[in-house]
Amino acid sequence: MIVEGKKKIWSEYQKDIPDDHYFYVRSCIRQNFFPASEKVFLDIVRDRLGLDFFETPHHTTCGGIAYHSDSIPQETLMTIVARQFALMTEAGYENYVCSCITSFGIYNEIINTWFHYPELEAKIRELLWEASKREFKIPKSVVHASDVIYKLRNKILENGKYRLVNKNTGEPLRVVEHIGCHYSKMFPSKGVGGAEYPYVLTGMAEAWGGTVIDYPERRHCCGFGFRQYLVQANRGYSLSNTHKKFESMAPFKPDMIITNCPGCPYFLDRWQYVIEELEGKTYGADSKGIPVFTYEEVAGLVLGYDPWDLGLQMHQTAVEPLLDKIGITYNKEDKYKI
Amino acid sequence: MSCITRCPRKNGPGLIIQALRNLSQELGYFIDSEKGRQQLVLNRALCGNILNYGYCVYPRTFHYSDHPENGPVGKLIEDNLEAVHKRVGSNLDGEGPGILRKIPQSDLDELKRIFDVTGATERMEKIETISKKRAKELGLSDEEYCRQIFTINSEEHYI
Repeated sequence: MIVEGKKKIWSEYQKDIPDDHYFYVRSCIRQNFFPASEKVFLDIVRDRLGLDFFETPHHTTCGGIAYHSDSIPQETLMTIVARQFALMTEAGYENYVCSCITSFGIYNEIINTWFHYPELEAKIRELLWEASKREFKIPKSVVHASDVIYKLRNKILENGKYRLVNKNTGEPLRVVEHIGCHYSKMFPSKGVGGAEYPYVLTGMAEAWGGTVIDYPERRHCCGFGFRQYLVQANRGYSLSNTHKKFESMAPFKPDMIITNCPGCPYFLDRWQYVIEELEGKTYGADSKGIPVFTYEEVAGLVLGYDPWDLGLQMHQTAVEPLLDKIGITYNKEDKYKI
Repeated sequence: MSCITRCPRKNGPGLIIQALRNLSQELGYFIDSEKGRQQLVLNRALCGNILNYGYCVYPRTFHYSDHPENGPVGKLIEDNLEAVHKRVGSNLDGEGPGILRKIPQSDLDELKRIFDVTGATERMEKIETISKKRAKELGLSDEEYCRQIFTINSEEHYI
């Protein structure tokens, strides 16, 4: 093997992730279903590591779910996004970081479209001015929040209390990493490792002591598909995608799943419950499910946060099997205490 | 679109489907297909959330009765929404920044103007008008029509 050649090829799969000074925008799905993940993300980068992540209460949805469900035209989506960029510009930032993978794909798609069709960018600037008298600069850098945690993974380990290791056997935990489709399949160069070798979650899992397992449907979608889930009559399609993934990964006996898209952990978590209810089938050991986590939750566990402060009680598939394997201490009685 | 990764010429057939769906809405053809008619409930849910709250998904309009897959934990969250979100650090409907904060009315007004000048309002009204006409032809109330298109899968159409 020619090592230098391999390094050169791999260098093409890297992306620039700025060190500091970000304009932060939230995710609709993550705020609804994994709210503590955004809290712990800001807690890590701001309070523990002293970085500058600015948030304005005036930012809104990017409109991505409505766009992918054909509810709003492309011009509407672009103008909402242009408004977000205007808020960033007004706040004096150039680095844009989003919590949502759908948004991440949307931002990259829009910037790319404007690059190829500058007349469309000019039209959107006019529409934004007409609607809000705002102007904007295109961000110098657009990253997903998982890129930031990936970059900080070794610092997190240095400050960590736990590792992704089975406390009884000393063996690395077996991790399924599930990348959101709109992270790097749309624009491979925008994701760490591209579409074929996405490394953003693998990098975290390996740095924190786990081993990543490969399985045939590793790159298969979770099944959200927007209108496939949002309309009840269509949900069989969403469920069948998750079912296909679990059937494929189960023989490899994963201990946990880590995700970077806000929607994927919801579906991988909830559809496991539905499959158990419908078929009596579970995919984890001891007739239990496979715990599913956001990357912020896993970072929080490594750093020693209380699992219930991380919001793990909001998962339908119980997380305790993973907590027990690592040896994380928690109070069972506190799980649903409100 | 995810399909671009697999296409040797980097084509995005998903975008073609999206364009055709848009065209069917512009021309009113959406009303003649099961999946097309679903646009009404999608618009009401998603555009309603955006214009009223500033989010695509908002917890007070995401009902367990429509999402039983959310399981008993989802039911517990819905029944104790404020307390659960307070416990995990949300700023549900609160002032200032944070998780699920109340987005100021001035920002919602901007979103409404964006909808108006970019054609989203016009499209929503078109979907409403054509759908109401179809519901009337079928002898269904608005609520009955929405429930039907939200829940019934004829198993003759696939996505």
